[in-house]
Amino acid sequence: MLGKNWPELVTWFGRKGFIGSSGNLDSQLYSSVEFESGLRERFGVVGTEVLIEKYPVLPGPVLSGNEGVEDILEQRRLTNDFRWATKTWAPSPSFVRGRRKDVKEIIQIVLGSDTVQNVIREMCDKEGRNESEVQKQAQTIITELSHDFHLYAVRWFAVMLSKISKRLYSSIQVNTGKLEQIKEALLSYPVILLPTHRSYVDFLLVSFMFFHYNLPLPITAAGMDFMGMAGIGELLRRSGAFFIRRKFGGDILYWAIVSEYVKKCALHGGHPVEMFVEGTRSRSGKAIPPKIGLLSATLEMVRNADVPDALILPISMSYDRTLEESLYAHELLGQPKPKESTNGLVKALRWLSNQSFGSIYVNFGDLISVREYLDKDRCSLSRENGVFSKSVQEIALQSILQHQKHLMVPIFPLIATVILSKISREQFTIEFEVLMRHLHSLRAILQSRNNQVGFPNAKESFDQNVCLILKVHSSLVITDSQKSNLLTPVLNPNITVQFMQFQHYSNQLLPLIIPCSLVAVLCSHTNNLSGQDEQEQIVSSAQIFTDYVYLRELLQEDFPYERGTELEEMTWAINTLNNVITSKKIEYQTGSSGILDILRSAVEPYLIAYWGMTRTLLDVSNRTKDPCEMKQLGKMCQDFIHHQMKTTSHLPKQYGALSLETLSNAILSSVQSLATAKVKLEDGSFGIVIRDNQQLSTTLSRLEKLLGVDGPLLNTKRHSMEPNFPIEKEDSSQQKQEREEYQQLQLRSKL
Amino acid sequence: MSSIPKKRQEALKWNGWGYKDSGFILNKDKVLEFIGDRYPLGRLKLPYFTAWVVEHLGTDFNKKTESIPLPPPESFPPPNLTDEFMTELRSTGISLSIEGDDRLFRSHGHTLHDIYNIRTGRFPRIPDIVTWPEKHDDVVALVHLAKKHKIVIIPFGGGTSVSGALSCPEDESRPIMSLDTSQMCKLLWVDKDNLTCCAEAGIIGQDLEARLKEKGFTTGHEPDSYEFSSLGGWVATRASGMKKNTYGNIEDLLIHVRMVTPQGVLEKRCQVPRISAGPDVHHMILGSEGSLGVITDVVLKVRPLPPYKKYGSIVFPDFSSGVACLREIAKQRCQPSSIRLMDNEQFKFGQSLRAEANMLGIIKEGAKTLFLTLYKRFDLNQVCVATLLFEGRQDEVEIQERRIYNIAKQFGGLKAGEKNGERGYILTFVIAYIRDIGLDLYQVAESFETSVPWSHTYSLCENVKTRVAHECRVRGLKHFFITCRVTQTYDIGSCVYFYFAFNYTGIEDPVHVFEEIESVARDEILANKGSISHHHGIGKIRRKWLPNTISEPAVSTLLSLKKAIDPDNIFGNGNILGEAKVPALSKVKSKL
Repeated sequence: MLGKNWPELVTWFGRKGFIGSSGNLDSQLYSSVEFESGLRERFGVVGTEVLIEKYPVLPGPVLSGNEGVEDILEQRRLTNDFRWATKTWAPSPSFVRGRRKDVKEIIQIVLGSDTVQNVIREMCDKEGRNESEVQKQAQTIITELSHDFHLYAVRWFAVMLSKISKRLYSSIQVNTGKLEQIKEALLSYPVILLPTHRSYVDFLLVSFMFFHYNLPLPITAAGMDFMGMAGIGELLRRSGAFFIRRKFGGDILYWAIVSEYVKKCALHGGHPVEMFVEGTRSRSGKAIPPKIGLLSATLEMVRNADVPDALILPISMSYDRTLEESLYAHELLGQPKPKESTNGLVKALRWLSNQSFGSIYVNFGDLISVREYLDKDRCSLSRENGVFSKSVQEIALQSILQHQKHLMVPIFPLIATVILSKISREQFTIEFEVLMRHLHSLRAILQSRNNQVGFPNAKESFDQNVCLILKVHSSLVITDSQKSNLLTPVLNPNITVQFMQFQHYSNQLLPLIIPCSLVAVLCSHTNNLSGQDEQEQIVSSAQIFTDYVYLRELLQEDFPYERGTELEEMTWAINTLNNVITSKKIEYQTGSSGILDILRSAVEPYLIAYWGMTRTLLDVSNRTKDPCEMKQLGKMCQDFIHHQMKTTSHLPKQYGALSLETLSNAILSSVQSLATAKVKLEDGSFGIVIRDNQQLSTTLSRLEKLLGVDGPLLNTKRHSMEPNFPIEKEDSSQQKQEREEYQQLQLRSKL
Repeated sequence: MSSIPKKRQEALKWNGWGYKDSGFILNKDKVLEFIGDRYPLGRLKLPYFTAWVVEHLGTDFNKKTESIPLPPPESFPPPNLTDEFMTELRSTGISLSIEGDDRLFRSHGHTLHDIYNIRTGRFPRIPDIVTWPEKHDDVVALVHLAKKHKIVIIPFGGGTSVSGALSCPEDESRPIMSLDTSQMCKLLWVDKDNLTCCAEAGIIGQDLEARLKEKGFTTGHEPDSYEFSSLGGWVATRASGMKKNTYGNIEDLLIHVRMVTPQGVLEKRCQVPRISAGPDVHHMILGSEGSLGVITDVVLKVRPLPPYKKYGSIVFPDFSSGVACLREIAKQRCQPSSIRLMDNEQFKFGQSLRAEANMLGIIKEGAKTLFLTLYKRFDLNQVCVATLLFEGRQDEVEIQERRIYNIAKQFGGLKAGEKNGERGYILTFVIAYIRDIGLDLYQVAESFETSVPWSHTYSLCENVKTRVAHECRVRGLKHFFITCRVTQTYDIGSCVYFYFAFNYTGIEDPVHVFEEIESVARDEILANKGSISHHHGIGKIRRKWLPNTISEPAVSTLLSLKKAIDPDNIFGNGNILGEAKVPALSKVKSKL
């Protein structure tokens, strides 16, 4: 259909493999390709210049170690913590509207504001309550909510954190390149810090870092869970945390107070406001679709012209080893989160203190000007809520993309990705040299998108750092001491938890390389299917782009991306793979253990999960027309996939597909594509009804083709779809073990 | 006789503001000094101001850049005029000049852009000829000639425009005549029964007031430029005076006006307090900015001179309480003749503009400061000051004072004495001279203004300052100064005046940078519900925002009006709409 306009792409995806194609693929692509108008309309066409400028062609100069990065623990190890923590506090100046107001004044302003008072009056009218009662309720809400910043609490925390960090971490590496710019931003406009949320440590770390660099200390939106911890909650409050209920349903008074409060804090408090755009810690290790409630409440100050602009500072924080790694694995498999308690914290600290957690890497994203996203809305007289929340959604997405763009990727996510690709094929050892070769390839891919790989010891070589990291993760990977070049993943009887832990790390890398992974999947698929004659190959090349877009859209809940950049992304991926493969002189062979297999395998857990979910939905739709409760649906699907992995030999053992988070994303994706619909059930939870069987079947067959599980797999005995069928029933000893381990973990309740 | 000679450059600076003998200089001790005896400030050394300039604007007194000297006569482009026209013009006996300096002087107003270019020798297009009509009939004759010979007329009054209204359109191919009204400067009559006066449009503010004072009257119209600006100019730009609370703005004072247009003399043939006779034609003339015709004489209301005058001032703990207080005063409609609120930056700036204190002065100042900071817990980096001017009978003034200070108390304001208030008003006329010394020392400065409803007054002030500061920082400007004051109060809102300056050391094209930031500031003003202008007018520099401000039907109405009155575009100064790109109207070529 596209005729001969894709010559290089043909050699790419055709039988000739990757050898011989030139590095300047994209320019040829764009100079000659004329897209079908339909394609153009749907995806937009990006100019050649933009592409080339954005993604410099590999091999560029290879970045050495951690460039422009400073270890803030290094200084802590040299000087006295107490003296440091009690330093004269003269932070760089921060934006304040008018006279700086302390929290007591802010509370008075919030309670007296028109917004809150109107809601109170409205409630009195509607619910027939007397006004003083509702005023009191408002008072209670704001007392529960508000922070109570005291410098002494911060100083105390600084000492504690310094002591603990020095014990747990070998370094905290901060990219200082943007500090001056950040100082300027903090002075100009209200700044909203949006860090990634991978661990409880995140919020403490940001404050610690700001204290270190004499930046104005943030106040932070925290979950109410902390308030259950005796003493700790109050301490956090005094060091600048304010607490927000996870659920407040239709409580309009609560919402009015919260949204007024964050605005007034940002305007008059003189502190930057910190919040987590993902709403909660990402157990899976990759971004969670953003929650924009609190963010839009804050950004309303720009919309209402209380300030000319607010700046958003995305902060990417990554850990060589996540404190909560095994807890997350259990949570993703479906066990409830243990309740935060001070007792748990003390026990956790005791347990943690014998462990090593490598380094922490912090990088700042580019400041996002809120006004630029709201400008239309800001000047127009009709202020549509829809337009506003769409803009905020866009800002949130950009923040998450910034997180990824500026992530310093720890080494273990690379290792975990390689290991997962092996153990999912039931190869349980890997030679160090082979591992290193793959790591170099993955690193080259990251470098082509300017992501640095974090070295715990910047002075040492990559190999040395890999060894260091393997030691940090000795609970997951064993380095064979006799045959020192052989690695073995630690294998528990409970392999699913093990997998989830590797998956947690692999997921930190995956969003960055997803275009490459998808291209790898699609090109192997084409190789299998493409016919002999040239014409057919050409058509299939165009098909690849269509498929790429299809997959990107299908996986959008797991891997958020910017619409309209698909072509740019895919071209980058092809170019990069071409360069990585030719420069490393790895020949492309189907079924070999090359980098393409690793990339392909990396995305398999998702393809399997989405496949499993589609199958489950179809099964449900055959049995009943009633809505199926979402959580239950997730469980059913988890059971189904688990069963398939045990019984179907050629389905890769990607237990990462059992993650309830991914499964729920798969459901949301089907809702997005209108194949299903979300409905509210009587008990307040949400259920799913199937709307379009045909579409689900198409999705199913496309995924089956990609996974290579069509044919025999479909004919396997239909898995029992009995609801709540527990995995453990099949193996009671395993269940027992899991439970024991989980109880232990609960004791080591997290920070 | 006018206070300003016909050859303006004999008394006024050719390349800066005001009188030649007045202004700021850097003396040999590297201290800034104000010279000239025309102003109550007198000759004054300003050590605090010198220090302020160094601190806030990073001024380096060793680095100076001076204006070029007035170019020699032969360096100006020859006038593009036909002999036929010249003969006919000479036969009318109207005074004229084709001298380069006369033409140059009338080719610009007083925007930063104008002055910077003049100082650096980047001369704009200048008029081909200057004429000085001495009476209404002269103007009629000139317009007739212009129509006949296809000449563009740009009326010129006091030359104090800050909107680019006087500059000649660069792409104009016809000859341009600057019609200087300065010789039409007589007070024609005063009607004591009806309290009105009639004057020729070229009379400048100070002369009009002086003539009226002899007879015991005042118009009370006192814009900051009133030493130089003309009566006709006030009407043509919709001027506003400092004491509008007592006397009203120009549109409130105006009883009658005559304007010579290419279609004849436009006027309302009566002088009545109010009229219901369809749309008010005065409002076609008010704000027409010289694009429809030449205003030749004006009847204004007058008032008997006030017997008593008193200054006052109030200190507020912060700007927001000051704004709230002004709002309340406006609500109670008890404004004195003038009330202005300066923000903290301007307060500190104003404090620096004083003579070196002697020992007693230092102690007194110190005691006042201690009282404010320790006893009243005011933060000197937050306080702001309102200055007041009361006029009327003494007993009336006293009642008004009490009322104002009582309201101020509710907002945390403290009475801060007459001296502070008086200085504020004295400085008004001196401040305009600062820009010239600034330009000598690598500083560019300009003011801009707006009007805004009360609900947005405070946030507009803060937002514009915040935005400008940010825009400076992102452009790498290290030293800048942005400040504002609320200068007028109305029932529904206020007028806000901004001063903005920055140090342009190392910047290639400071005027361009300045204009970029000013444009951003205007966008910010509009986003904060402010207006395109309160009294400076549109001219050429604010044209781009007008269609959005007044709606498209209004644009087409104005364009049709222009076409009806001036089909040949004789008054082709391009002000107000010029070649505004209004999509729906793009085919209408006529200029307004």
